[in-house]
Amino acid sequence: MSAARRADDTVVLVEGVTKVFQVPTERRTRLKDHVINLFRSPGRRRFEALKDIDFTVGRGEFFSIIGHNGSGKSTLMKILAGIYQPTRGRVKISGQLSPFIELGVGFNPELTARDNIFLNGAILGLDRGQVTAVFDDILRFSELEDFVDQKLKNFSSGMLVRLAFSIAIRAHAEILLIDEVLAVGDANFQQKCFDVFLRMKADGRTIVFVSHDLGAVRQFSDRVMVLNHGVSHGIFNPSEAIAIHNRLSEEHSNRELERAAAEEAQEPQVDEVDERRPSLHGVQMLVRGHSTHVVHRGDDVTIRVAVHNPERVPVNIGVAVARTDGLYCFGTNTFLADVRPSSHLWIQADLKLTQLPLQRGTYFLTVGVFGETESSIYQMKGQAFDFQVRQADDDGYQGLVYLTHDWALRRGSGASGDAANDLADAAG
Amino acid sequence: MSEVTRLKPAPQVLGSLLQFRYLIRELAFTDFKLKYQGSVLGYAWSLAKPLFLFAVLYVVFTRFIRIGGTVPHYAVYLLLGIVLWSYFADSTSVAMNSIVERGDLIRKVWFPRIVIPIAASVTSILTLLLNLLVIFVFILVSGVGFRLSDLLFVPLLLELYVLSLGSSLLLAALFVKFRDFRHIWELGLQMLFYASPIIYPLSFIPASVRPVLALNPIGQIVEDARRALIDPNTMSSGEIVHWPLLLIPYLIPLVLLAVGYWYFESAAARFAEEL
Repeated sequence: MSAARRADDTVVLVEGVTKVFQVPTERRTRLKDHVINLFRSPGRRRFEALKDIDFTVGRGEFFSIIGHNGSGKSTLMKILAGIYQPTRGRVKISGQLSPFIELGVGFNPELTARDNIFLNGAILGLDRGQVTAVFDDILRFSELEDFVDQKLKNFSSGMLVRLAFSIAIRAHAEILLIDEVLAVGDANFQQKCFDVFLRMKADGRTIVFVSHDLGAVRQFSDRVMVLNHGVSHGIFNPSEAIAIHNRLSEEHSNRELERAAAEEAQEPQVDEVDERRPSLHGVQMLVRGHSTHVVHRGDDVTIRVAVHNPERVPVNIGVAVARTDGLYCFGTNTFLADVRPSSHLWIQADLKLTQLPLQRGTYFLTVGVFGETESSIYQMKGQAFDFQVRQADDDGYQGLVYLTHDWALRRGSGASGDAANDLADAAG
Repeated sequence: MSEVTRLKPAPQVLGSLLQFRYLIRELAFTDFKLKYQGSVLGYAWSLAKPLFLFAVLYVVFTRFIRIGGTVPHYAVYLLLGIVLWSYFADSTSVAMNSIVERGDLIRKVWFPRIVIPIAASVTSILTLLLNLLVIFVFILVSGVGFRLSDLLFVPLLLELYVLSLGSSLLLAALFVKFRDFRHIWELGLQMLFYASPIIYPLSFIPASVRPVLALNPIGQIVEDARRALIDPNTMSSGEIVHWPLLLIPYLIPLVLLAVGYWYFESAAARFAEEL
């Protein structure tokens, strides 16, 4: 559909956008600092967050931007939203733009859900009448009917996101900027969010989407831009873009490993003055050899943990899986499995999970590196990695895990042919 | 939107303000509500502050230092001055803080930034209106009575609002860059309080100094308001300085609003990065 677009259907035009942040090395917020340094320009470090970004988005298009952390995705979104001014270049938006890029901004914990709906609606440009008209829909969609007069400070983070999303989709915008909305919320609600996206797309609304959720990017996007260190790698169809993104992150982690290998090779010169203790250096999730944050139930998943061990002491490496609501699903460590990591400077521990039984949802990994007893913790990272588990749309299995199972049916042998009678007899 | 920060032409600004009037209202009423939430007396506290200052000053200036005795209806006279002054002092102080306080909103959502200080000024107006109710009760009780000249009070309130909003815009934008203004403005307000005829009438000031004080718009507003509401013989700027100097106290609020608006709008594009 994007190829057939006519030129006058361009609703977002970005031309040569460059954003340079002057990161102050000293902070001048007092008048005195300005007066004293009147004739000296402040010490500043130039940081080029975006470099010569060009793209257009057509009416009704679902355009995604992917890239690693710090690639400039959020800066670009803020420039589109008008929050930041580009240092160079031009941005032209034709049509009404949703003013939000993050959910729940402006929520006040001291106010009730009811008051916050009106306040948040006003931030999105809705008047009181418009909010009143959709008030019940918002509550129903967020499943918070029973909490409408509760103060927001008593809400869980999941409830907050549900409320925020339910309000945000009511904004009368032709162009929506959406940044990482699906990171929180349970699986059922995520499914509802996806349904909303599909409906918006069908309604011809334009969506610019930024996410780490490559599954969602693949499912919804028409075109995807890959950002890498503030530079565009081009615009592709979703599969190509995700492949490039994965290659880039792999190169990134390979560089890390090469650097590590080089460090190990010239080990006598390695000068680790500040930290001699074993430490964690990255967590990755691999499916069929590709780094990812999105897996499907039943995939063979490898969790790769890199540990730096300067003193080459015996270490125990642990990984725990928890759902976003904190439910602890599984935990293991190398000692439990009677695996002793080799005493190398760099250790790469691969934890292989065959046929991942987790059901759809978002999960976190907590990883740790311990000494010979569990009480000696060298380093532990809670929520070191997040990942999504998908299952096929028509897969109705519910609950936390998929238990391998079979149903067996037995035909009744009585004259009535009633199996229940047989069962009753057996019980009697 | 482009690489150059431009001032929007006035009709466009009014248009976007009209579009965002609901946001102004929600922000203003939310603040007003939160200010008194959780306190037993609630909104009564917004009356307590000026009334308490009034009580203290009234006792001092009628019992100890007897300047109040020679001013007709000194109680209403003093209270009106304090209420108008409190509005100016509170609204500018709160609005100065408003941009910094809403940093979270500014970094994450786009809307005309000017909405924030305007909402703060509306919150202060709500308090002022409550206080004015008390004044009208005083006017009734003290036997001053109502006259046609009372209507002149309306344009004076408008002038006070323009003065406060202009100062607020300037201060709010300056405060993002220079946190010193919290202290500078505190001192400035203290000086202005004594430089304005709030506890004393202009007629008590030596004639040689009067022309300087007469140029102060706050003094002019307070004394003109007293003329309109309480005593038509109150000495105001009009009797001290004459055309064209008399224009100065009336022009200062307009100039402040223009300068404040210009400075605010030229700084607003960078708020998100500076906060």
